[in-house]
Amino acid sequence: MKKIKLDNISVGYLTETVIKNLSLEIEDGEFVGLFGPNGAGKTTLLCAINGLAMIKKGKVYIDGEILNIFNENRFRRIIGYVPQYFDVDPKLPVLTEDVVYMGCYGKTGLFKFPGKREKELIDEISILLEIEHLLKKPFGQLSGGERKRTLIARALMKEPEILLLDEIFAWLDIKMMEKVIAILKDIHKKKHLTILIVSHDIETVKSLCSRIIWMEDGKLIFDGGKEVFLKKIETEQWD
Amino acid sequence: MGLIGFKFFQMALISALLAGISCGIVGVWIVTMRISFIGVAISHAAFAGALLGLILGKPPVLFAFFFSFLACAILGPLSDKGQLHPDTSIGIIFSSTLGLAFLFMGILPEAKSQALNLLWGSILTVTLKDITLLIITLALTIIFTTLFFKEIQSVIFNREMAKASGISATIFFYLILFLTGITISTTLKSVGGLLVFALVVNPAASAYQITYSMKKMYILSSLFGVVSGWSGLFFSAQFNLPAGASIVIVSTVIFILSVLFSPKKVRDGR
Repeated sequence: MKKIKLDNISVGYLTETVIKNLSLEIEDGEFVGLFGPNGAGKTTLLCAINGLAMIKKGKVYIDGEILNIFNENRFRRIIGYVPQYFDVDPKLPVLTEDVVYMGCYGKTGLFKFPGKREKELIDEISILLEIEHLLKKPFGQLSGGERKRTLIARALMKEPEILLLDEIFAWLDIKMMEKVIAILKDIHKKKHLTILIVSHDIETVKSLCSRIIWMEDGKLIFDGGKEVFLKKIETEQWD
Repeated sequence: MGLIGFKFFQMALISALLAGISCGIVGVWIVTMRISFIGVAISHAAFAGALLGLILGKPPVLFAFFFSFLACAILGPLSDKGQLHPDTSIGIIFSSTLGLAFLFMGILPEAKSQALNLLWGSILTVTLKDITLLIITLALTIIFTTLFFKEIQSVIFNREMAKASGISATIFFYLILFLTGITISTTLKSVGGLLVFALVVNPAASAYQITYSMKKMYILSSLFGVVSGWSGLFFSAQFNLPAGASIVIVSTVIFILSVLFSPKKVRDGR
């Protein structure tokens, strides 16, 4: 439900610039697929939108407001983010249920703890993503696919208006992948969320996205509709 | 044991209780975030600061606070922004603070007994003022942990993900480092500069082997801290051993036992 605008941004980390002079507008409720080879800057682009990467030049606008250190936490509370991967010690005393709840902690605010509404939400989401039997297990002991589902649940806990999904289908089996695609379609339709999804799977494009962005070496190579993109890869023999 | 009747021993027991709980709580943060070496560097900085306080004839604890804050202010950004590999930056701070500590010991003008007390700890000579400081530290640690339990847990789990949830993760990370510095500075006198860190890490590392619940880990870690403190004191009195070293050895034995009898069945789920 939020419009995103990237105005000539260069983004990276301390010693390197990954994205160079990129401009892009994503309308309210668009479902955008972000594709490209490894190291193209797809994850960095997602991190630029939620303020996790260093914006070295240019501006990021969310709903017309420039993203800065004073408002980034306010925006992060409406942006659901599922990272590609991060390591967790199997012995870490954090249960799967804790991880899902953490998704709404920023929104809940300081000095408050999740209440009845959050409890209902976690019940609903965990049934939807089939993780209800995992809630009392340590997160570090879950398999890759179980972790992904937990992190999707965590992102949904804040009832986001923007969803940034990084390789969410990695580790998922076919059945679960179809299920997650159906869930995303449903949420997008019902809540009209703005969704950006990074994927390497062309089937995702076909079934989910209305618009495709292809990145290479931190630059936009293609930005257009799904049909045009599919035609292009057929005729131009893209890798 | 007749020693309990003596006031100095009662004060030592109270001091061990307070230091054991606060070090136990702080240890949970250090162990779960895997920043043990940051803690070591902070404790050595506090030790160096306390020695400088002695040289200048000022309260050692005040200088210990200042030096540990300084170490946090340097180590925090280095570990946060990854300008240097954490091992390298912490190694530099660690060795330089230890170097400073020994330099200050060398130039200490008068008798070095006070400096040695700071080095090895002198829990049997704690004063009411030391106990008051320990009470304030413990109160701060408990209030911080209770009020911000969910934020601290998010930061422990993953700092980047905590930020993505809209939590001011960097601020909480620094608060954790500063409270670690305060706890180490106030515990310095009881256990000593070289050993205080063992009282922070060992009880928490023992609790880490036992539970998957963060709340239980805080409780167990504090309990192990107190048991280490009290048992160490009794052993030291019984066998005429240095108190600080006895406390640390007991905490190490608890750690070994917790590893041997750990109920956690680790499997790599990925």
